[in-house]
Amino acid sequence: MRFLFLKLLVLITRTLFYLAVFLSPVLSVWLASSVVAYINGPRLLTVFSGILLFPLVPILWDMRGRKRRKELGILTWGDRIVLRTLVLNLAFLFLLLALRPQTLFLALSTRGDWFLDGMQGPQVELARTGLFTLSRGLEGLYLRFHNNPFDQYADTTQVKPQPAPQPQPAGQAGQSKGWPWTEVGLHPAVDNMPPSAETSIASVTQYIASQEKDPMLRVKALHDYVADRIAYDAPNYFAGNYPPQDAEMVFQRRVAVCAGYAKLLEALGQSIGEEIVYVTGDSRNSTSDLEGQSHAWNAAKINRQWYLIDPTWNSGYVDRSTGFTKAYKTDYLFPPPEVRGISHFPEDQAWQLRLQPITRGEFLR
Amino acid sequence: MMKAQFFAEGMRLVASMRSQSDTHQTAVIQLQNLNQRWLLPSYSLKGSTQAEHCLESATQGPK
Repeated sequence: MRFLFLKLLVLITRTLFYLAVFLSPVLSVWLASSVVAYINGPRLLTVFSGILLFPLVPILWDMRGRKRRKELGILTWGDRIVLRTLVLNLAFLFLLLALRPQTLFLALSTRGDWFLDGMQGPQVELARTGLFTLSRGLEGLYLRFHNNPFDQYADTTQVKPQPAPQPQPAGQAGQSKGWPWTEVGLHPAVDNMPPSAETSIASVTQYIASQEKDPMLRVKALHDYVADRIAYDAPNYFAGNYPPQDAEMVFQRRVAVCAGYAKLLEALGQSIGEEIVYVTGDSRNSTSDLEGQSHAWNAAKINRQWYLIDPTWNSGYVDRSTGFTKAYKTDYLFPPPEVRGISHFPEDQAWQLRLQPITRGEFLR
Repeated sequence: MMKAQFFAEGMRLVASMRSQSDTHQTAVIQLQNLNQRWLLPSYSLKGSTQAEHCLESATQGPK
């Protein structure tokens, strides 16, 4: 019995060892080649890195140690190559994971299937799904190094979207209520607001509530107020140094970064009982990288349906040389979750408001 | 990067459905332009501010 147990233990250890010997160079080459594809490097570099990891460096390493071995040679040439390949590739994997965990996740999630480019069919799709499922294993590591500075303003007791997301009613071109908004400017209550109504958050919302009875247009008016009255704090954004972004401070200063816009809209909503919440995550535009950058926006519950709002992106645009340019728009006022999901990825997947939430990898792809 | 305005104009992206793909010479982007909006597509290399106009090839259905 004891002998059988020992035999089984040896068999398992041996199998694990052979698996590690086989898988470590395969994994190393997959990781290295995906990073090369992700950074748009030459294919030749992929092939070269693969040959370096196996067999070039292990063989060169073995030749270098030949002199010393003449005195005490125990292992065969094959044993030595296997062991050196294992050590080299495990060290390579460890270094990559330690030094570039985020790049690895991004590369595998977007280009981990580069060798299947242009190929289609059920088997190929199965392989692709398998590769991307493997790459999801690194998401935890990616998130460990991925901090959103605007999380500090999030309310930890915040509601989740209840009831569960339902398909958003499809908008019609030319409609005056709902996305896509066509030729709709600032809400009249915001456009014609007397200065006496702008003394506090409460006075603003009371004035808007008295002027607009329709719930959807009332939330639009609150959004319009934030998008129109707040200027983007471009100098501090480019300096990466954000002053406090709480609603009262933003209301007084009239400048903010995304967190301030979203906190003010949340506070305006709360002031008149509208359910508007603060959401954090990543957003990307045509000039940013695939993974985007930290951002904050809102979701609002209107007539038992949740909608997404980005008052920052609807206020204008920012350029390093010219700073903030005010340009009110409604592109990001209640867009369908699928449209919004191309540029915005919330940290809490519930705020995707999709029937079938997507993974971070799918967002990146 | 697809902007919300693109979809608000009634357009749909047909291909490519991936954010990154390799191309040796020509990159083909297919759109559905249901509302028949006039388009002037352009492209620029990463990091470049210089934009080049895209060539429009054969189209199917209304332009």
